[in-house]
Amino acid sequence: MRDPGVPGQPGRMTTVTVDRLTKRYGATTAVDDLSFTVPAGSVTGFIGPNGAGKSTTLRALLGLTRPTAGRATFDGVPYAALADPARTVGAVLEHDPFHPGRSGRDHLRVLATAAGIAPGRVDEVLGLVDLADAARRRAGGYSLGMRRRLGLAAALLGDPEVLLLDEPANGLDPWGMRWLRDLLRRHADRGATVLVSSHVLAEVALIADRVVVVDHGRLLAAGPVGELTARGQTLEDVFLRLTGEAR
Amino acid sequence: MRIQAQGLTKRFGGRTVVDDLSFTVEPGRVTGFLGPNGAGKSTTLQLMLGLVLGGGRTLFDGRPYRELADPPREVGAVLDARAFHPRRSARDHLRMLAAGAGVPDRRVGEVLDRVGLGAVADRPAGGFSLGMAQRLGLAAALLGDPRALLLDEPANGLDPHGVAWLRELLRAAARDRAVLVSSHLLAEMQLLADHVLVIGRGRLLADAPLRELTARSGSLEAAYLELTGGEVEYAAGGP
Amino acid sequence: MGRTLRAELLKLRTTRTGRAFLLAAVALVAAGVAQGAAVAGRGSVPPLHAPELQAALLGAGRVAGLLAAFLGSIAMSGEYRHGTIAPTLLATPRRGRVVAAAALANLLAGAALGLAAALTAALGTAAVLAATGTDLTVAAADAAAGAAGAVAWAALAALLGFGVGAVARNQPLAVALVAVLLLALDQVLAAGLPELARWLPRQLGAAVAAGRLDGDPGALLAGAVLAVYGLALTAAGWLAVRASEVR
Repeated sequence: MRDPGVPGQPGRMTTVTVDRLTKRYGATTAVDDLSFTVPAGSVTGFIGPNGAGKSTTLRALLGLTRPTAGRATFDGVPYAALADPARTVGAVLEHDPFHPGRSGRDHLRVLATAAGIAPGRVDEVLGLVDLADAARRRAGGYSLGMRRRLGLAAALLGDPEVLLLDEPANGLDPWGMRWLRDLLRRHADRGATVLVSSHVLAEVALIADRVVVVDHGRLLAAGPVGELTARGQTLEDVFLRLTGEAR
Repeated sequence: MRIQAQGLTKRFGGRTVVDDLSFTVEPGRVTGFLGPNGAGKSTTLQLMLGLVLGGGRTLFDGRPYRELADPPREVGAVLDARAFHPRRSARDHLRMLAAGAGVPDRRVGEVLDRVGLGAVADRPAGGFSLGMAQRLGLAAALLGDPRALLLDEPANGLDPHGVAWLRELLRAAARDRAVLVSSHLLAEMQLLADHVLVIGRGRLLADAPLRELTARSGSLEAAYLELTGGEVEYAAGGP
Repeated sequence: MGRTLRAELLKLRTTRTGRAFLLAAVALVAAGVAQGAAVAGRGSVPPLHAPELQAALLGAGRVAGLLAAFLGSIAMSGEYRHGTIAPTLLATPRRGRVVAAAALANLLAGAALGLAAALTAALGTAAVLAATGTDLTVAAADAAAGAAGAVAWAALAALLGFGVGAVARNQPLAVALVAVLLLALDQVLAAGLPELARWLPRQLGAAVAAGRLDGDPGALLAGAVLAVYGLALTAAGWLAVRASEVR
């Protein structure tokens, strides 16, 4: 993987706020009066069991899902109302959304065109995620790891100050995971706001400064990792205790 | 059971994907199988199980896989989480395998409970999430109560509860079995594995107790990155 | 709107689907011309030198309309199917803008399909006439009207199909609905309610493609009605997309 290079000047410090977010699908409550803040300049892990409402929360932040109640905003502004949404927020979603007949490069070209991002950026991010060679092949033939990396490339296209990542390391090998960890660290050090959801707590413990723990759509805990694991427990111990009680 | 891989070799086109691999998987401990994508891990597992033909041989307590009297009752493997018919229920899938392996029907209920799929056992497996599919694969591997387990990325798709549960299950299973687990999750492997095999470009780079690698480099990841530093092949395929 | 439109046009150009439709249009038209030429002069069919026959050969381009409708129908429905609706909406959160741009892009694509078809018909007819040593007897005005009609019908058909696809947001359903709308519906009604059948898309399309201003209905009236259908369906599609939850 390519070295992302020397950090540029710090961007605006954007706070991500989830404020009393509720989402109901018929009789099911996926997110229940959830509130938390993701500060700039740090990596925040977003953890919870399956069905905890993590993906729903991320989609509400991105305007892909309409909240039943509450708000999810960037410095108080909802995604759709941002001046330059694709250059403010980059997201990697749960499922890799590519047209199988389109090449990775063309997928990025389409996004760059729609978002008003300079075309040269496409080859830049492809180099960053090491997909330059495979970029002209159709995405339908990509392996899981390649699809994840293309998703990351799309998220980085606008050089955003906020990154929302849903299981970004899925399918990446250890080199890829190390690269991703370094990338997120560098971004955060530059003042970016990074929210990463992951199931592998051992990985989260390596990368996150803070964590937000949810289950059944509700907040169980939020705070610096060091504080939560203060009594010599691992993040997993804390997680199992919190969610064990909640179940 | 002890598994001995001797001189495993496989060539695809002009490339040597597995290059004279020899190692032993001992019972009583969890052996981690690590390597970059494209290093030949999956092909090695396929060679061991006779799914792919190549050079060398693998002996399960001295016999190759095809000579085992009842393979599913001696060796359990999960290579592809979604290797089932989507419209068949989990229970029926296992019953089919049990019948083929001469395993009593009651084992089906037992393993379904063991992997936590009891509640969804009668749903079509096609609707399963990745995590559920992994559990079904594990159930299939455990069905014959085998003496050896070969697993390829079994934690993929499991949530933190599942990851913790799998670790406990494999630790318990390893007490009197040979357990070989291939995975990319090194932070997790560091908690699970007792012994580690690292390959790169089809060649063995390390075959050592976990303790040794972590003592030398500080963490399993650091050791792995040092070992595979020159062996990573990010060709047009990549991870 | 400009960059959204450019992105939508880029989408059409970067999968093999567009090329496949183009090829299909050319092939179908060529086959139509060949078949028409083959039966010329047999039974009650006018001979090759008759202007009506030549006009009919030139009119083979109208088949592009059906293809254009299918092409339009898979646009929005395809985005939902492949999940690319998510990155599309992240790049352009204003859903109305996305739908409008996509509608316009598909209308233009339909026109392009119609143009290719008209050209193929012209070249094919010219080839047949040259090969058989037959003179051109069709009036230039009639030929031009037929070509323009084919282009217009294809453009309007694409818009119609697009609207269906945007409402359905399900690819197989969209394709089936277009098939029913353009093939089955007027067969069913033609027997019992011929007056009603005249205002169905297929017969209106035939009127547009014929290019006769003095027809019954005239090409312009038929085109206007088709445009209203297309715009109405597209508006309905916009409402559907606006309300949809994107997973």
